[in-house]
This record gives sequence, C-alpha cells and structure tokens, in this order.
Amino acid sequence: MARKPQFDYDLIVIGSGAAGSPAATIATQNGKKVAIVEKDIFGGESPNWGDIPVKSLLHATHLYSEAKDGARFGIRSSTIGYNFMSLKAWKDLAIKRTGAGNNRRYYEKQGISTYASTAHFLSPHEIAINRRHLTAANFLIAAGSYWETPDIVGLKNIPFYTPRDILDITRPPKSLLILGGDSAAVEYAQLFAAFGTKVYIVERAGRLLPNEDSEAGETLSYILKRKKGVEILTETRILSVEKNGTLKKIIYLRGGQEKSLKVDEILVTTGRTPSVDIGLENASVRYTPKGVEVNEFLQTSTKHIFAAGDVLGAKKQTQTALIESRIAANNIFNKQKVAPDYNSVPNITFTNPGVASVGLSEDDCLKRDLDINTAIAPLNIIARSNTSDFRDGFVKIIADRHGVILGATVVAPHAGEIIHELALAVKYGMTAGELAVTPHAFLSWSEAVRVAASRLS
Amino acid sequence: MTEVIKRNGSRNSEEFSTEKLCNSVSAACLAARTPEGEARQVADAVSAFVKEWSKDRHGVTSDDIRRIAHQGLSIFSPEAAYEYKNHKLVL
Repeated sequence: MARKPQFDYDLIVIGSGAAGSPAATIATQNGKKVAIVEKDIFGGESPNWGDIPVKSLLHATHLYSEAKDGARFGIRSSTIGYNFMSLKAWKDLAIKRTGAGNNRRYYEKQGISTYASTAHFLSPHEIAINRRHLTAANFLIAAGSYWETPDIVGLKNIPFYTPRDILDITRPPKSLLILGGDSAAVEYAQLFAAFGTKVYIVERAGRLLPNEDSEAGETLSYILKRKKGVEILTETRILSVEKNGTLKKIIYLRGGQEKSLKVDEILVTTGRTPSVDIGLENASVRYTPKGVEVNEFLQTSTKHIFAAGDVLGAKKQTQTALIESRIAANNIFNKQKVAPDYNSVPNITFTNPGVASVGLSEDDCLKRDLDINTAIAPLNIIARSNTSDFRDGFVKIIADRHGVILGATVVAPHAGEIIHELALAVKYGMTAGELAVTPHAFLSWSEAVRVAASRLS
Repeated sequence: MTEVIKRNGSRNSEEFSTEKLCNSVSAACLAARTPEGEARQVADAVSAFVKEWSKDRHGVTSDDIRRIAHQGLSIFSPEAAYEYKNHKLVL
C-alpha cells in the first residue's frame, strides 16, 4: 500500500499581509501545522505603510483642518499649528499598537512558524526559501502586489515616491504631483494639502474616483479644489518628466495641448502589479501578468494551492483580502467550500467628507443593461447639515424596478459608517421601501439614507 | 548563491552557473546567424538579466532559468529567442 506523503506543514502561507494572516491564524487555531513566508516586512502593506499609517495621519489632519476652520463656531484658531515629526510619532504608535506591524513575534506567539525569505515553488508541494526546501500539503498564495514604474519618459531617471515610502519624508513638500485619481490618490491629496502643500492630481480618466459613481468624483473634486486648493487635472496624460534644478518638470497633454508644470516631489499611486513571479509554473498554477487564476472558491489550477488578495489581480481593499483569506482557510480544510460574496463589500475612501460605496454602481448597471431607478438625497436637506454646518455630500441609492437595492454611494462625514446599513440592504436583498420605513435617528447623517430610500419607494 | 534544481527529477542540484547559460545562449544566437562577437555580447546581457532575476531567490529550477533566459533573449535578440526555445524541434 502506498504511504501517505509526509509534509513539513499542513499549510504554508506565502505572504503575511491581510490575505495571508487570517488564514494562517484560523488554520493554526484548528490544530494545523502552519508556516508563513514573508519576503518583506511582516504584516504586509496594511499595518506598515498602507491603511493604518495613512488613516491615522488622516485622522490627525482632519482634526487639524476642522480646528483651523473653527472660527465660524466661535473657536479661536489663529495659533493652531502642527509638528510633522510628532505626527509621524503618532503614526508609528498606531502601527505599533496593531501588534502585527513589522512584528514577526506576533505570528510565532500563535504557533505559526515564520520565515523571512522569498518563496519560490520548485514543485507543487515544495518551495525554496533561505537555502532550505519546505513542503506542505496545502499552500495559500497571498503574495500581494507591488508598484511598477509607469512607462513615462524620464520617470526612471528621477527620484519619485510611491505610497510605500511617501510617509518616510521628514517634512511636507512645498508642491506635490500625484499621479492617479483613485482612493489612495485623493487621500494623500487631502493629507498633504492640509499641511500647506500645493497638490496637483493627474488622472487619465474623466473624473476622480473613476470606479465610483460620477457624482462621488465630482463632489470630491469640488471640495478638494474649493477648500484645499488642490489642482485637479483629469483627462490628462503625462508625456515626460525631468529634473529641473531642485524641482521636477512635468510635461503633460490636456485638451489637445501640451503644458508643463514644476513640482518639488512626485507621488505615483498607479501601476500595481500582482506578485506572480514565484515559480508558479513549477507548481502547474495557471496565471497571467494580471494575476493568478482561481475558481469561485479561490482554488488555483492545482487543487491544493489557493490564492487570495492582490495577487488575484486588481488592487483590492483590505476588507476584501481579509474576507478572501478567511474563506480560503475554510476551503482548504473543509469539503464544504464557500465562495466570497463581493457584492456587499463596501469600498471606502477616508477623505473628509468620506466616500463609500457598495454593490453595483450606475455604470455597472448600465453595462449590464439593468432596468434601474436611482435617487439622490443631498445632505443639505437633513437637519444634521445645519448643526454641523456641512452641506456638500449626498446619499445615492440604486434599485431595480421592484425596489430591491442593488447599490449605493455615500459622500458624507462618516460615510464609512453610514454605508454599512446599505451593505446589509444589498446583502439581504432589502427593498428601498423597507429601508425607508426603518426608523433613523433625528440629527444623524443616516437620515439621508432614509430620505433617498423614500424617494425610491 | 542560487541553487538550481535539475529538471530530470533526480533532485541533483548545482549552483547557478553563468558560464553554462552564456554557452547555451551564445549557441542559440549563432544558430540565428548572429555574428560571434554580438552573440557573446547578447549572451553576457542575458546572463546578467537572469542573474539579476535570481539574486533574491535561494532555489530555482532549470526550467525557471530557461524561461527567464528566454524572456531576456526576447528583449535582446528575438530571432535567437526562437532558436533557444525551439532548439529541440529544430534539431
């Protein structure tokens, strides 16, 4: 009788970020022998240079901005200032408090073996790391993605920042060009504009936040331009960049005209590429440069190898990677497999006001030729806009012809909190009528949800 | 140093040798009628390309080396890349 193959581990997770950590933790809590291999900083992007540091700084800058504008409430704010190094210390504290940021011991305490190395598949059950070979019955590829330098003439010859290292600066630049108009770009724009940096955003699409509903991008553009002095150059393509003394000269094409501008620093937020160069051919795992191919259960073409997170292609929010990681852990060890439900995962941009969306956007519905109704409730019609003196924002709900909510977008303070009621509605197929008759507290921002829903019901 | 696992499954492995790679790439270039001096230059460039790729990897397979060498050759000499990939068919 053939002997059952012996492996070093029940599960090896390649990558310790949001797509890898939960699966490793779940597996080890279920008595499995687990190892994590991480080639970079343990914890991955989210706690080290992504969500945690950025959002902790955004919290501080929102407070600063609100305080500076407090004169209309009777708050004296003429002497309010900031200390950039103290802000960075606060950011570092937030990272440290996660426990996972740059902390290998965090995993070892849970009984997970850790290896600081690149991993390279040698065969379907074997990887090479640090001059050793490790074998496992199962693998989870959570290798994430990396920034690739965009193909812009001259960009490789000058220093520029990516979200990976922009927060290492010792002081805010006088001027900053941000290449890209997605969530990360507008968050950084608001962050640096609060410090007095003259910010330019360059985006090829016709609006900021091109993947959100058009009203979200337009509202945020208006707010960034009017309140923060951010210059937004949409439908713009950068032709070349070059050093010009201490500055960087950018030549761009907009409206058929070539123009130029000079900035102190450049931040590139576009060009994420899945990290698929880990010997997947040797494991017979099918992939393309756009990502690893998986079925609906996150299983690759090799049935004991699963994948989750950015490595599947397309930049994902941390919550999606976390969900995929938990589901992959279930699917690896259980016969009853589960497919992730992406439709009710909210997307959140942590600007002020925030932008949050869930389900299908209006563009998604149009592409699918769905018969839909939409309703928008501007914030200025609810009582909270008066007491908080904030009117720029809205709640938009999209429903089918039966009133079932397909998607929603919120631009409002605390949008990231408001959206979860709508995520629940999308997940459980609630109708706008059901949402409209649900009591919403007076003077809450969520009253706008009730108003939008009642317009549809 | 990068360890190269041979493709025949016997689990023999050896240290990555740029000389062996240079020789095979050079042969592919010569098969594509590239002048000898240029063949050597292309071989050195491809070898550097593969070495750069493998520098952070502690173990790779001989198939990996061939695949990356082919990628490099596609940049420096597409005709030689074809010869390199299809040499068994050609012979």
